Amino acid sequence: MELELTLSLSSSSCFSQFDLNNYSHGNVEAKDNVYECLNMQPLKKRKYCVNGANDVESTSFIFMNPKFSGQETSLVRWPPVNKSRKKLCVGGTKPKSMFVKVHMEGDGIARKKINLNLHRSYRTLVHTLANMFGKCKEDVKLTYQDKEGDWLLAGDVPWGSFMEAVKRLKLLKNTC
Amino acid sequence: MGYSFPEEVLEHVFSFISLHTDRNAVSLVCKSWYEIERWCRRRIFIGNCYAVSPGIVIRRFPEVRSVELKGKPHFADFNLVPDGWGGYFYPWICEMARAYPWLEEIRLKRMVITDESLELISKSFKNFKVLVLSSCEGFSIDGLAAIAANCRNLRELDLRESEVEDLSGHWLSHFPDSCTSLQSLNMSCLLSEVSFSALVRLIARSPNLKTLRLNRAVPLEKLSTLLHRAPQLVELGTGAYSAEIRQDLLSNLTEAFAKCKELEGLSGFWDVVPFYLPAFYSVCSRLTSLNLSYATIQSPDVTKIITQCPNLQRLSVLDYIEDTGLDALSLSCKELRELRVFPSDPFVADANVALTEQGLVSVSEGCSKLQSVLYFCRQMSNSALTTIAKNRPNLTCFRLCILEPRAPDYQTLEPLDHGFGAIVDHCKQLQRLSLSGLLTDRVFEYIGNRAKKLEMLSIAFAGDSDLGLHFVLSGCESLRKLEIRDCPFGDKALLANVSKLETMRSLWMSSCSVSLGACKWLSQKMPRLNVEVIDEQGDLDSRPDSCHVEKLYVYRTVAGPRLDMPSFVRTMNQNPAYRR
Repeated sequence: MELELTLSLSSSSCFSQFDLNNYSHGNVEAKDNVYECLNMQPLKKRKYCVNGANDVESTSFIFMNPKFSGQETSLVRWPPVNKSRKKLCVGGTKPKSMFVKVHMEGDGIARKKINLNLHRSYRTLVHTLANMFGKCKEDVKLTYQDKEGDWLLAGDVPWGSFMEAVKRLKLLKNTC
Repeated sequence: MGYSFPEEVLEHVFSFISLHTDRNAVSLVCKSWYEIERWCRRRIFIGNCYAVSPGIVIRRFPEVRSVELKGKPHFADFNLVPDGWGGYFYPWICEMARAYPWLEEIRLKRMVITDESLELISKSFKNFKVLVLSSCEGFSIDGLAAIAANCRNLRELDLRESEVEDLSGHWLSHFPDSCTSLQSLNMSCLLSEVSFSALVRLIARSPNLKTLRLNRAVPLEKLSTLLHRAPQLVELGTGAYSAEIRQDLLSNLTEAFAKCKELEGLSGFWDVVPFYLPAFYSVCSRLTSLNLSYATIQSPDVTKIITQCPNLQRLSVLDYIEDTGLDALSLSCKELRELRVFPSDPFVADANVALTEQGLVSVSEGCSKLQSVLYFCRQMSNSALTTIAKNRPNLTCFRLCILEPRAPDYQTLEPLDHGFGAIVDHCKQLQRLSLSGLLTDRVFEYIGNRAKKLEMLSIAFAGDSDLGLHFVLSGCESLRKLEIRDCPFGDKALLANVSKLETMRSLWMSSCSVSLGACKWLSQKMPRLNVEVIDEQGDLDSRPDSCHVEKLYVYRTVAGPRLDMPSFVRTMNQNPAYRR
C-alpha cells in the first residue's frame, strides 16, 4: 500500500520558472513568481525598537521553545567553541542560575520560577513571563520586590541594578 | 588502439601528481589511465568514511601507503552530534591490516578508534611511520603504549585535540631504547602526567625531533631540561607556563630558549605567569607560528610579544588582545596569513574585553597577506565588513562569530546582509565562510550569486524562509560542505535541489524545519544519498510525516546505508515500505 506524500510542491513544471536570472531587484514580477512557486510569503521587514542598549529586540541567548510553551531554554551549544576551549572558560559553560519566584495577580497561590540569568533586558523578561502565564505582554505590568521588601515597578532602574536588587516578581494585570 | 606511452612512462609521470583531486581527474581520462593510476596511487584521502567502504577502496587501490579518513561531521566539535553516532575506525583497520602490509601513514579526523585498533596498527604494518589522530576518541594510554612498543620506525605521533582515556600507567617508557626515529610528538591533549624521565630519554635519543608538543602537566621548571636535550626543535608546545617567581628559573629558561636556533613555532602556554614570558623573547624574531589561544594574559603582555615577531604568519590568540593589540599586530606583522581570535568568556553576552569589529578592520588594513580569519566578537557592522572586504580581496577563509545570535549591525540595527555580501563580492577566491548575526534571505542571494569558489558554508540562526537555502543550493557551484543550525529552512528548498546534494560531500541541518516525510521522499528519490535522521526523542516510527526532524545529515555514498547506526539514527531508505 503506497502512501501518497503530499508536500506543498506544485507540479515539476513550476520549477522551470524558478530561474534566478529572473530574480533581480528590478524585476518585481519574477520575484512574485518565485514566491508563488515556493508557496511562500514575501519577506517581512523586521521591526526594531530602541529604548537604550538593553531594550533592543533580540533573542539574547534565550529561546522560547515552541514545543514547551511557557518554558524558556538557554541557547544550546552556542557559541561554537570546542571542548578544550570550554574547559578553559572562566565562568564555566553554563551561566549561573538565578531563580526567583513569580506570581501572577489573580492566579491564586500558583507560583512559578524563572531563571533571571538567562535574560539581559526587561523586554525579553516581560515577554517570557507573559508567555509563562498565557498572557500578552501588553496586558501585564511587571513589578518586583527588592531587598528591602518594597514592591517597585520594573523598568525604572538599569538592568544591572535591577538584577542586584530583585528578590521576587509579580505580574499585575494592565488596567490602563 | 594501443597505448600512446608505455605504462612505465605514464606511471612515472603520474608519480609527480600528488593532489588527490588531480589524481581523480587523471583516472577519468580513459580506462587505461584509470588502471595505471589505481595501481600507482600511494595516498588516499576519504573525506567521509561512510561515502565508501573499505572493500571498495582496497579493491581499487591495492598499493596504498598512506590513508587519510574523516568521520563525524564538523558540528560534532560543538557537541551537536550525539555520542555513539558512528565514525568507527575498526572496520577499516581490519581490512587494511590484511590488504596493506606496507602501509606507512594513517591520519584520522573525528573518528572513534579503540585500543584494539591501535594495537592492530602497531602489529600489522612493519614500516609504519605516521599516526595522526585529530579530534578522535575511544582509546586510552594502553593503545598508545602498543604503538610506542611495536612501531620500530615511528616518525610521527600526533594526538591533536583527541580525547584520551588516561588510565594509570606510563606509555612513553614503552618506546624501546632502539627507537631513534621520532621526528614529531604531539601529546598536548593528554590530561595526566607522563613519566618525565622517560620523556627526557626519548627526546635525548631522537636527534631528528623537530616538533614537540607537551601537555599541560609538564611543569615549567622542567622545560629547560627538555630544551637542552632538543635544541634542534622547530616547533615547541610548552606545558603549563607557570611557576613560583624565581629569578634563577627565568635565567635558565631564557638560556635554554636562546639555544634553540631553529625554533619557528610556539604553542601551549596554559596558566601563564607573565614574569616568565621574556624567557622566549629571543626566538620571537624567527617565529612564523604562535598559538596563544590558551594564554590568559592581558593585552599589554600579548602586545609586547607580537611586536617582536615581524615574521609571524599564523597567530591564534584570546580576545584579551583587544583592539589595541590588534592595532599593534597590524603594524608589526606584515607577513600575517592567518588570524584566529577566540572568546575568553563566550557564555556571557556582555563584553568583558575591549575587542570590537575595529580590531579586525585594523588587521585587514595593515596585513596585506591575510588570507584566513576566525574571529569571535560581540558587535559588527555592515560598514566594517565592507571595509574588510575591500581591504582584503585575497581572503580565502572568513569565519565570523558574533556571540549573540541574530545580532544586527550595532550602528544601524539593520541586518548584516550587505556586509557579508561585500565579503563574497570582493573576495572572489573565498573557499570557506561562516556567517553570524542578523541575516535575512538576502545574504543568501548574494552568496548564491557571487560565491562561486565557496566550498564550505556554515550558517546559524539566519534567514527567513526556504528561499535562503534555495539560493545557496542553486547558486554555489563549488559547494561541498553545508552545515546549518537553527534556521527556518524546510522541505521546499531541499526538495527543489536534490541533485545538488549528490555533488556535495555532505549537508547537515539541525533545529530547522525539515519534515520526516521530506526526508523519506528525498531518500526514495536519491538512492545514492544516505539520508540520516538523528533524533534522540525516540519513537521515530510512530511520528507523523509532518513532524520536524531534530537533526538531518545527508551525504553521498557508494557504500549504501551503513550498518553500524545506533537506535537514534535512521537512514531513511532502510524502511522497506519506502523502497521503490
